[in-house]
Amino acid sequence: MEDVGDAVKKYSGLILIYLLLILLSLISTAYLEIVYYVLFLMVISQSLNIIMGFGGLYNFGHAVFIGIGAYVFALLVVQGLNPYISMIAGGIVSSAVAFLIGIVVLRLRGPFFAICTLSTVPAVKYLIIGGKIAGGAAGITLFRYLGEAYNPYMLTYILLISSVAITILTLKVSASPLGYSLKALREDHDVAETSGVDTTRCKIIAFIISALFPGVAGGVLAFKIFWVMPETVIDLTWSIEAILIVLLGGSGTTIGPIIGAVVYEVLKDLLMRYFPGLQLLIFGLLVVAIISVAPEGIVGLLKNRFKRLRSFLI
Amino acid sequence: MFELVFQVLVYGVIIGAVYGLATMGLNLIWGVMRVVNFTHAELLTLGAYTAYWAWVLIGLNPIASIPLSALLGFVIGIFIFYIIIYRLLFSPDIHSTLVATFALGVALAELMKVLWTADYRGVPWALGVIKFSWFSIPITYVFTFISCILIIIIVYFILYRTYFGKSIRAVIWDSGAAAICGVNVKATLALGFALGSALAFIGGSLIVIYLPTGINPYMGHLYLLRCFVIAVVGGLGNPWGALAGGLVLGLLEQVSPIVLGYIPGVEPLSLTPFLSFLILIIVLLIMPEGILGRRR
Amino acid sequence: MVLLKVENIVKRFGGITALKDVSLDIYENEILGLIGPNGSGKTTLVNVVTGVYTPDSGRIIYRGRDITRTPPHLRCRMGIARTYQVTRPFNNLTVLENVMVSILNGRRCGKISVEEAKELAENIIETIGLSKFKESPSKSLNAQGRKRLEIARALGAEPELMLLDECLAGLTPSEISEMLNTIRRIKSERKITILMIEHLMHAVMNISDRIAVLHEGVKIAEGKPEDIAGNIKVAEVYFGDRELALKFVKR
Repeated sequence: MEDVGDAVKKYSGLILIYLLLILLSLISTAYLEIVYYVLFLMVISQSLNIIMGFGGLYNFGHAVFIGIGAYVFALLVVQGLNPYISMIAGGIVSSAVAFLIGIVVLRLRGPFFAICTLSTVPAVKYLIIGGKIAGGAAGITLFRYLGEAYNPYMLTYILLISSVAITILTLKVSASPLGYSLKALREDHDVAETSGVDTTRCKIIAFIISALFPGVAGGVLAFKIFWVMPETVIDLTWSIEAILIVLLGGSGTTIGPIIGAVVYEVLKDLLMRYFPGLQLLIFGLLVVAIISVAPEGIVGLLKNRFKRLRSFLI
Repeated sequence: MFELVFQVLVYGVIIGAVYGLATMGLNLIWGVMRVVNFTHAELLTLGAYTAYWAWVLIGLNPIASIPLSALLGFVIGIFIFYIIIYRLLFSPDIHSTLVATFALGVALAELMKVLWTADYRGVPWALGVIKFSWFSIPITYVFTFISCILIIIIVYFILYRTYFGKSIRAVIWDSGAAAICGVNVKATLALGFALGSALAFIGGSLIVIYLPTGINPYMGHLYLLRCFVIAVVGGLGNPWGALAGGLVLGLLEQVSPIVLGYIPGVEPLSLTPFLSFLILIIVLLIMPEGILGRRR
Repeated sequence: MVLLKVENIVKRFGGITALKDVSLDIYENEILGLIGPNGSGKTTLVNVVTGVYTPDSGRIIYRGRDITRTPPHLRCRMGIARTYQVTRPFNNLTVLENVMVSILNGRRCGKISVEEAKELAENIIETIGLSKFKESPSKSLNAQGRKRLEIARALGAEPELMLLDECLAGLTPSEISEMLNTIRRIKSERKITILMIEHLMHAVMNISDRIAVLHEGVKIAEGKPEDIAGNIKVAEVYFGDRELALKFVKR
């Protein structure tokens, strides 16, 4: 049993970051915007961390879950349902879809899994446009239904709560048999199998968990932009940003994606001021640099340089 | 009815050939070094821009700009290989190259946007149309098809009649054995990647002919799905697999809109790519080695 | 009592038939040595028994149950564990975590908590002599450590049948006798049946109750170690020459 001192140390890093974000959001609406984006990225990256960091499965199609959440939100709100319940519904449907996609796609290994998940992003867009689903290319506008209810603070705090929730979830999974199984199958799929790990079941569970909060975040996004269409809510950029942030922060750690999201957004903001338009370019190169030089991310670097910080960097 | 079938077949084959050529690079690179080149779509786009600027600045039509595209693609391929790919080939994490090429692709797309803006551009190269009583086809399409065949023959020559080509095929088959036989594997990998890149550029230049106004930094997204379907269906490790896959997709894209047109309330042109995605999944599940791939 | 019955197993890979109608019985509480020249199909047989490969024909029967179609992870939970010839630790996990994986997913899957698994893992690591390294990443272990980890991990699943694939390869003579003692101890303390693939003749002759010999996918002999030692067919297969084999056996 760990004593109170250890527990406090372990979580203090996390608590500190969250407190900081709350404080920043209260300074001004400009800061609120930034905190919103940080939290948005944080939620989707932490979610991706479950399947990618623990399970070793690089889901290039992660952005699809956001889109699903956004569309479910829009469809329900148009029917008159409370927006906040619609967000939760978006998350649940997203997980359900993850289950359906997962039972098919999770049998594939390595590069084939990557190709398949990467292809789901344009595929879903084409399905919506081609099948004229939910308004097809034109989408659904939400001004009429939500205009007055818009509250940026509320949206940001929903993301904050989501992030805290997924943090707790990540900690729980990491210390649970599922966590051990996922890490084992990440390291060596076949040996995990002969050691008793039901890899298919574990992968599917991780996949479902990883889809929940991006679905909620999709609903938040829809609320913010008021117009849900394929171009705006299904964006490959989020897939790469999420992957980047997980790698940047420290894949497979709990605090990694949190740190990664903060660092990423700060850098992105700075770049926007001095080199507008070049953010993604520089980040593309940054990803390459990270993989070659610091594959364990910021957490890995800090753990190696500053041994005293180890207990904070969970 | 006969006219329809004929039209579908001809267009399918002609467009399919270009698709196949455009994807050959992807199959080749996978075959040689087991890397899925997620930058492929952006290399295609760069090829398209090469054709555009050749047209605007020098007045070269897309077919005439092929040597330029090939050269550019080759050089850029060598760069990418030595700066990025080579380091990651032996990393314990098999996903390194995937993420790196994906990130590079995103970076290149943004670079193009910064350099040339997101405006749609086009190469309006038209030479008129060959007309039969029941069938017509733009002359440029015919020339494109002929160029495709010529390039494919050249690639065949390179792969089967030159030392370089033979070392590529050796490395595809078994890199360890190739090394023992004195093949400089690293150089072969580099050249293989460069060749794949050159082919992507050429494909991009030729696709321009089918897209009178559609060149933009993000056009790669359109071809992402298509190229993967072609590559996987045809057989990833085999460059000729790309041609097979290309033909399949080319024909599918001609037939599917007609069939889907009978379903009310859908948009056949956008639903067709989704259909191809379903085919991708089915092939990956049942026959991942594709039509021409090596049987396990 | 027959614990595992391998019945007429045929396994083909493309044009090569790795196992041609192989049948074998493993009795409870014995140590069965499996020998044969390289490429004779020993590891393939282990892969078929553990479920990594599905045979083209034939059956695997464990404690009377036909497990030919059972997936690998369920076979592990039933009591069949294995080690790998080329060691495959869960690289980025610590030694302790490696063993915990098989404890949490082995015989007691779903019935043991993470804390209990940790304790059990520490015990096993103690038994196998890796306590010093329990918090080290497994990729940092040396050859002997890795071999020991393979066994520790297999033990974690609390098996009834352990399939050891060349667990002595690459060890020094003193390490070998240590390992043999460890195996004997495991067998008697935990009542585990062992199938041991080995190349080191003196080791496998020494420790096995019975021996089976594979050559090019066919079982060419089976019996007590002294019978195998005097078997001309076996000697011929190893020497490649009947004359030489006869001379050797006469000695």
